[in-house]
Amino acid sequence: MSIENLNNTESWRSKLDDLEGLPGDTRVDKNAAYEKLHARLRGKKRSRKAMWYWAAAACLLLAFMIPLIFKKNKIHPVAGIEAEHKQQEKMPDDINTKRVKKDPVTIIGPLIEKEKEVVAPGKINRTNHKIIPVEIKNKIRLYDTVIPTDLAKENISNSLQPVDSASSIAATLPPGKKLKVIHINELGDPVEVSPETVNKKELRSFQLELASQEVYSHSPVAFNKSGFTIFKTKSSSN
Amino acid sequence: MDISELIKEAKQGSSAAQKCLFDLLADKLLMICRRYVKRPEDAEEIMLDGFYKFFKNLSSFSYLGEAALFVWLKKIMINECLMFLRKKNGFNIVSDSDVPDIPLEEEALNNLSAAEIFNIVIQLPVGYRTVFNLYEIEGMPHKDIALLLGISEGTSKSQLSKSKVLLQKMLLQKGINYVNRKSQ
Repeated sequence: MSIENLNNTESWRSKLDDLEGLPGDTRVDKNAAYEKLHARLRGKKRSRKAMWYWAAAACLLLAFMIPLIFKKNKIHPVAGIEAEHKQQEKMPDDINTKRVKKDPVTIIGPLIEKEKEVVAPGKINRTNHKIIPVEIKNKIRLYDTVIPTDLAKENISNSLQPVDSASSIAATLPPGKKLKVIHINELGDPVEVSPETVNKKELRSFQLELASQEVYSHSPVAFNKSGFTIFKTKSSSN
Repeated sequence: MDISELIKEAKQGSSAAQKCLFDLLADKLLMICRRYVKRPEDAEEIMLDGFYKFFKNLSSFSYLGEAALFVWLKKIMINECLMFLRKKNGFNIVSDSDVPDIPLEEEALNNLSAAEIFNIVIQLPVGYRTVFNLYEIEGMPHKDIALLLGISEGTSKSQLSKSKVLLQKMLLQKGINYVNRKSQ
């Protein structure tokens, strides 16, 4: 290809490149076309901003939700009681008794039947509601330890019918694992005294005369009311 | 305002500078797009897509001169056109190996105005037009054209030969017998 020919080629090519429009052709409205383009450019920026706003909002929501979720998990009542039961089943009885003795909050007393105690399956306070089997005189007994202030709170918030605490606890347990059923007759009483003994005046009281001439007498009235034996002192005139 | 300054301001996000650049280059680039895509509406959309990409990637562009800027923009527009054609047509071009290679008569084309050349080129079928544009106008080798369009080199060559034959016929119809001119 000669130099002249090459120049010619460049000529018609450059002609086409420089072409800015056709003679009879309607020109494109540049302003409208640029508006379209500008809207596209601006629209993308806006969408990015919006995306950041949404991300920030999601983070904030998550931050508020996390403590709530953990709090709920911590005080899940049924799960807590189940775990405690499992632990108690695994532990030997003597360890349980030792634990009970060490625990300053636990009160071991005679079995008290609480008539209007309300314990809902979903609202049992794990910290205040304990079932502690205690071995006394080769008999296993179940005692409830309930702090009265907590009981009052439970009564206010609960709309269920009053039920016996032991049976309510049994209801919270999973169907596969049941507590050992113990009849009241098997439980017995901390101090077994037959009604005949209480009624007989001569058997109801006794007197002790010590060397210091002090006489200790036994009061049946006090015994009947609280179940504890009270010694009263009475000095003899002799 | 100088183009280099406009580019600088457009890089900083100035809408006014972007508008100036658009006004300066839109016509030329639209004609390039129309050489590949026949419908003016499609060509306009492609041009806007090209400008959008240009403004988006302007930060990575270093200004070396007006010619370099135009070459870069032209490349963007051609790529956009080819993407559009690939989507629309898929370039299902069948190769004809027995088509003889006809030399393009440059002199005859030189005697035509830019508008006349443009009108002849856009009347070619899509396959012929695309290969003709890429080989004869942009100066791309057949290997690159084959890669770009996803066709074989032989197909690219045959398409070019056919386009030249058709172009010759068109020129003859217009009363311009450049073959005769060649013999003169």
